[in-house]
Amino acid sequence: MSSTRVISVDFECRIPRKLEEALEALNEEGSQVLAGGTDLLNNIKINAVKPSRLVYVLGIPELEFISVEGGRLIVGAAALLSDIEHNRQVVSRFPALVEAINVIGGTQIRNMATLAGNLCNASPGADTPPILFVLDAEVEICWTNGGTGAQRSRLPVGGFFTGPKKTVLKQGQIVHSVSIPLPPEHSGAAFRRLARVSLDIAKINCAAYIERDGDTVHEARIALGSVAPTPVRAPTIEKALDGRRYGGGLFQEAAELVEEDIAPIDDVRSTAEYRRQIASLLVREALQEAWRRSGGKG
Amino acid sequence: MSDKTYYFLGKDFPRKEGRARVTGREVYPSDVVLPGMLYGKILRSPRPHARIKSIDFSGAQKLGAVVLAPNDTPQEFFNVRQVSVPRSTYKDWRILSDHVRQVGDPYAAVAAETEELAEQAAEAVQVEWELLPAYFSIEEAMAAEDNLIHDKVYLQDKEIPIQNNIACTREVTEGDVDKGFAEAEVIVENEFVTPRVYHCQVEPRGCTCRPEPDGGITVWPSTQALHNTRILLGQLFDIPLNKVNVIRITGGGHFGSGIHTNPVILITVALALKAGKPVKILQSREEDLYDHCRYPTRYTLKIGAKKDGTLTAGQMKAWVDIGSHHVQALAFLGVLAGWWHSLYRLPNMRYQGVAVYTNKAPTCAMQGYGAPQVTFGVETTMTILAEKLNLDPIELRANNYVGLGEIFWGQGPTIRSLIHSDGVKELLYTGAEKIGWDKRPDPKAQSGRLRRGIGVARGFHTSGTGAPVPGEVKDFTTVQVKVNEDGSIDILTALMDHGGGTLDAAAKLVAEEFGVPFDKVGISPADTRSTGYDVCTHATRGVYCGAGAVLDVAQDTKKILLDYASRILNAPADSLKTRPDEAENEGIIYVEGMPEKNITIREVAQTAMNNDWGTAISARSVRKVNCPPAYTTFFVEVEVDMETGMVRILRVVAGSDAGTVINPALAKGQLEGGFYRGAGMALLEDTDYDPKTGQLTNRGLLTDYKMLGAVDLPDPEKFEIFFAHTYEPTGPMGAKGIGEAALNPVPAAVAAAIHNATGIWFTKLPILPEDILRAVREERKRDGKKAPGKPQAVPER
Ligand SMILES: Cc1cc2nc3c(=O)[nH]c(=O)nc-3n(C[C@H](O)[C@H](O)[C@H](O)COP(=O)(O)OP(=O)(O)OC[C@H]3O[C@@H](n4cnc5c(N)ncnc54)[C@H](O)[C@@H]3O)c2cc1C
Repeated sequence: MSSTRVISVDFECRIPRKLEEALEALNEEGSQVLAGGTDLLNNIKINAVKPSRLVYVLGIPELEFISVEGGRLIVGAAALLSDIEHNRQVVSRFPALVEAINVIGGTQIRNMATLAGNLCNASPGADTPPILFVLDAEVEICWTNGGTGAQRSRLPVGGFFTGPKKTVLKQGQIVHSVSIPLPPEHSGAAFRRLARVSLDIAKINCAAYIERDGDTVHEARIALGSVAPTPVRAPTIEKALDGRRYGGGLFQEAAELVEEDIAPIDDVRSTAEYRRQIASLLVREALQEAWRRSGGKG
Repeated sequence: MSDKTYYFLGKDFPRKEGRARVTGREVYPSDVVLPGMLYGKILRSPRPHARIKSIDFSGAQKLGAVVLAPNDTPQEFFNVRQVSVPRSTYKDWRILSDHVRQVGDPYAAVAAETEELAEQAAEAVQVEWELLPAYFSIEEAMAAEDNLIHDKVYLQDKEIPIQNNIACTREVTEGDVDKGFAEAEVIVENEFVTPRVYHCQVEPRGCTCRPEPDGGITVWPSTQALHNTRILLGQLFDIPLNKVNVIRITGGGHFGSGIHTNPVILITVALALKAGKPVKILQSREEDLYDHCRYPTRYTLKIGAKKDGTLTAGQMKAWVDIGSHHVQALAFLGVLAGWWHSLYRLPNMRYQGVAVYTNKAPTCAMQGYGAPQVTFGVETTMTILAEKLNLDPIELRANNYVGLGEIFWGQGPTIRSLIHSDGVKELLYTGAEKIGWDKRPDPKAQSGRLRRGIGVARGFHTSGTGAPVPGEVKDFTTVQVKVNEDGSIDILTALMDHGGGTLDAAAKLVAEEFGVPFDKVGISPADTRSTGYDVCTHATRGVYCGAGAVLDVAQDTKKILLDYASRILNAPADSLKTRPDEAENEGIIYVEGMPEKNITIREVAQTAMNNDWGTAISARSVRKVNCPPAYTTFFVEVEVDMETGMVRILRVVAGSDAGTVINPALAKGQLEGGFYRGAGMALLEDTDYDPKTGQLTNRGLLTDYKMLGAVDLPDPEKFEIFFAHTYEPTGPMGAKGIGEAALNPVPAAVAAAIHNATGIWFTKLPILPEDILRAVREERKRDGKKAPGKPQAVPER
């Protein structure tokens, strides 16, 4: 039986001032990144993880930024969700990202939590992966081999998750930042979710992105959460929409194909049956809203 | 709310303890810290049903921990709940037992200098278990012949063998049921299921105990029952009661979870006695979720009526999955019959209740104590009946409810009292007008994705458990009221206030009676050594019985005071009146018709002291010999999304008949709070178990025990509250109760609103979006072949 009264395991807590310092501290087996702690501390309390060392990354200047550079929005790993959702660039260009962030916890949680933490915790039901999937976001990973400075590599967010609570990160690697290409004209994105109550982890969530060419769908991307071991794209729907002209129940028809792309289960939040039943509804709504935001009529 | 005018009643004042609460200076059980105190940790079973083969404490002892094994504790059987009289008390509890009956069942405890060390010591204890078969449903449990959850229990002192895990049964019959059904022209029968709701009081239960040099103990527990806790501790640990001091501290919430003496209190005391040092244990939220919950029920309800709506007969068969222990299920089975019997006039009724042990958390009272469960089925049935008979559901209720001049069962069949005040019709008709009942939608005429519905349900709760003839439940309160030498007044009583304002109400009544400013009436700190017995604050008895007792004793004290004043003013005592002088901040005693002949209470008290007349003080026990029903009616408007099954609550009209409303803002708070938990019970709250592991499916984590939040509830301006204009002649200045009545009809009202929107009756709570969507789809599939509105049992989730 778990008890969240006190943390009874001993661990060391490092508060580095430089990225390099943090990366070195993380190379040791048993070390783990502590960002906002809104997932990690719960997991330590219920004995789901037992790190011997926590390395606190909030406050590291190299990670604490939100910027627009080279046609991309780049969010550092130490940027707080509340900073992202109030950032002017984000608000004006990524309304759907703001929507996805806005449903996470309450204000107190968003004042602590990070986008990188939401990804690295790798919950199948996390709220930001679907929208990051459809916006073609990339994750920048960094690490040090000792003395050689920080090494970096980038990968699409779609390749980041390997299973429930699992990512590609190896010991010593951290997420440095998440970057998203600025959306082109005539594009739009939207986020939808259902939960038991307003303050909750999603029963199911979904994001859609559409690039419009006149009255046809030039490109569509759809992703869902809490319907498979990791957040997933919905390639069947995407294909069904490519190059199709809007109208005649297009979105409804395409959304019904969602069953092909998901494999939901029963859990404490909902049932596989219910998730299957409402997945297409959420996809349809997200597509409709993305279409509207892309400037499409109808 | 009566139309009389009062100095203080019916007006809002800042709560006496409000400043301490909002500035963080109130001391709750979790705040108690004593010099040299150890922190305790309870070891709880990871298995749903097992026996300890061997237990090794050496790891914990190496860490310097004090350890407590089952055989370190008295092995006598008892019941944690002591509200019932001994002849009706089943005993199946021991403080610690090597036979564990649920995940989370305590089997040992450790104490150490820090909480962390205690936690580590607990982890170092090694146990070898002999696993026993576990039962998670009533059917499984009742099919078992051996490996029972309890082999034997005691009723008072008589050993009772247990068969098929049946804890107890109860039957109640009135009139001739078969004849009643034969006379019926319509019969409605359904099965209803209500959930295992967790109290989720803000503060998990806990306790601190200090062993005293004289062999006694001082205890700071979270409890609703100061004196019952004292008596049980004295009995179990064989300490004379004059050495057991249980201190009243402000609880961090109860909802009924502290009517019984929680196991954590007993374990803390046992540990402290063994350690010879003060010990504190505060349960974690996870432990608390395995420690107590609302009684779930499953029952069939059959009601017959004539075409004009006159009820002729009723039959109810109820099964209650009580979990691992008996927190007095016999009383619970009794109240199920009682609430049912007292909702509507039923000349012929038959009730059978069966309480069954399972390997789950023990069930106990929670706000409403069976009334929300029963009211759900009865009110649903009344609306179905009205529709069948083509009668207005409001009229059917108005014509059949148990009201003025009738007999009411306040706490099961043994507590019967006459009804003296009744605002039911006012609640029904005023509420109907406010919500727009006549304009409620016709479910058959609705189409589209979002559908609106309005539902009504009414109910009541008893105000305490007093009756002319004592029954199975104890009910009295002991009070002392004294006038201080500056004219201020102290109230001393073990009565508890759970945050509803019970003690503020007592202070207001005393201020009103004496005519002194509210600020000059104080509530003394209380403990069991300085106060007489009070049964506990439960059963919505706080204001009617508890504060009522305070008023009665205040009147005794006032007599003494007026006698002193009469000597000074040279006027007969019965010509003297009192009034507050707010400007001077004094209470004034004056001669009726001669207001210039007056004296302050301060001067009277001082003169009495200086002349050695004595203090105006009195103390005694008071039992109220009635338990008037506090009626409520809820109208709820919802919107149902037919594509997702999600329900949004749009509007609420809540009417309450509480007699004289003493604390209006707090009474409204009760109705809002009652609605909030009632709607949670209707739409969300439940605790399920995984039969593979015996654990809660939420693993005890609050993350997955969902409750409605502020944003899930209607805006305050869409939540209208009104009070009936009644005066309860047997109550303190016309007052009766409110607290539990504020919840009782809510689940039924929400279900009725969902029916009005969808045309589908849901008879199993909670009504989840998953259930609604499944039912809507099935209904569609059936293609309207069957008439909509047919009751639909929702399959197991
Ligand atoms: C009350 C409450 C409500 C919540 N509601 C929601 C919700 O609605 N939707 C939702 O999606 N989530 C929700 N969460 C979960 C949580 O808040 C989010 O996942 C949050 O974004 C996690 O960020 P963090 O900074 O707190 O991560 P932390 O808890 O600090 O870390 C989470 C995990 O990621 C790792 N990590 C963090 N940063 C990095 C990095 N830069 N590189 C490598 N590893 C890293 C940590 O080691 C840890 O394993 C809720 C949590 C709570 C407590």
